[in-house]
Amino acid sequence: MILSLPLVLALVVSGVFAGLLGALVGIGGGLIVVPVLVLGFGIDIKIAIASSLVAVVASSTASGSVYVGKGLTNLRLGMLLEVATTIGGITGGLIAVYISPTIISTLFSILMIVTCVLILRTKDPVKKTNLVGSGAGTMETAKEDVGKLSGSYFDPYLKTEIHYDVENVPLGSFISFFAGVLSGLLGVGGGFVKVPAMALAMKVPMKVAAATSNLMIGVTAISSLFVYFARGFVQPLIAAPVALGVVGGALYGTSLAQRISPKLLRKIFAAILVIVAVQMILKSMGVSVGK
Amino acid sequence: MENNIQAPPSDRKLVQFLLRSGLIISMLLMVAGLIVNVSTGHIESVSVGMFELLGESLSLGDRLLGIGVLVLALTPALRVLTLTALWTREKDWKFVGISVVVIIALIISVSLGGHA
Repeated sequence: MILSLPLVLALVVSGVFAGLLGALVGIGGGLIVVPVLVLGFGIDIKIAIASSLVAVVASSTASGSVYVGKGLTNLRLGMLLEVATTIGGITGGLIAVYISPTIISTLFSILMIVTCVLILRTKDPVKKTNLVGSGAGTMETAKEDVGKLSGSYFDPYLKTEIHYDVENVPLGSFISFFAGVLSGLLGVGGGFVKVPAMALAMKVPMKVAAATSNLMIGVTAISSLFVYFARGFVQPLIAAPVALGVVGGALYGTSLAQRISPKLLRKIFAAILVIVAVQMILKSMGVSVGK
Repeated sequence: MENNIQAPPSDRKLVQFLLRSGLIISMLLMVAGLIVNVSTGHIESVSVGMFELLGESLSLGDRLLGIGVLVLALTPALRVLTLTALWTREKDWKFVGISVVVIIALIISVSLGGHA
């Protein structure tokens, strides 16, 4: 693919858009990057997935550093679940090499529609996941108990210190494994699976779940990215502009989220997902869409 | 009182510093690679394998871009290694063991990729 300066800038803008929306609704942005590259730029889906994994690592590293600073990330819980997601990520990365692009596109479309339903059914994901810039927690007040998964953080909204324990570790690990497989197979971070797994199954506070998931996404993504990178699916001239854009968009999105109606945002995001999912299904069926 | 031995805030500060440093270095490399590629007319997107980065076949711009991607990919791995060292210092052996499993899994992913 021959890139021009306007095309490179278009990739950066696409990354900004993905990072912005991803940060606003609390996901990594891979769900947006892959279809944009495939449908908007006509890029092969495996190259698009590899580029998306680079973008997910960038997004996770950028926002993860902020969440660690806020004291909301449970580093020990993250490491424990990374065992399952990393093994899942390797599995997904290996499976993806042997699966046809048509099947991957179809799976991706189904995943987007499922995500759309989850986003619309979640009561207030923006409020629960928008931690950056809210002053939530500090590095000094956050605590993790050595040798245990429990921890605590100061919640300025409730003006109290929240102490929490972690339950159902085997179930949480089991779900995290599949989040890893999805990551490797489809180039997404899998945050939309990990956050509910921690919050609902393991009874972790939503703020901690979102922050911990954000940090974990980076390790999950690199377990697949190394497979793609070693096998020559990474095209840095495509991946780098997208990653640069995603970082800018994610950092801006975390501050912008304070000023946007969560309900409106969820509806816009859901609508975008449905449109893109339908386009990908049509493309996998051989119907020409976009470029 | 239950277990009230708590990890020091310096752990978090170190992890935050590592993540920020890795991100900044990788982004700078990518920007430099893009500038070199655009200014020298190397605008054809090519696949770059992780093990080709030190070879002579790549242009300077592609090499900078590829190294930027590699630095970015290594940053979360470095975070895992750092936490392993910190927990070793705290004698938190259970989580040292868990992080070692993650490190082994990451090594497997690199070696599996290399056996394409």
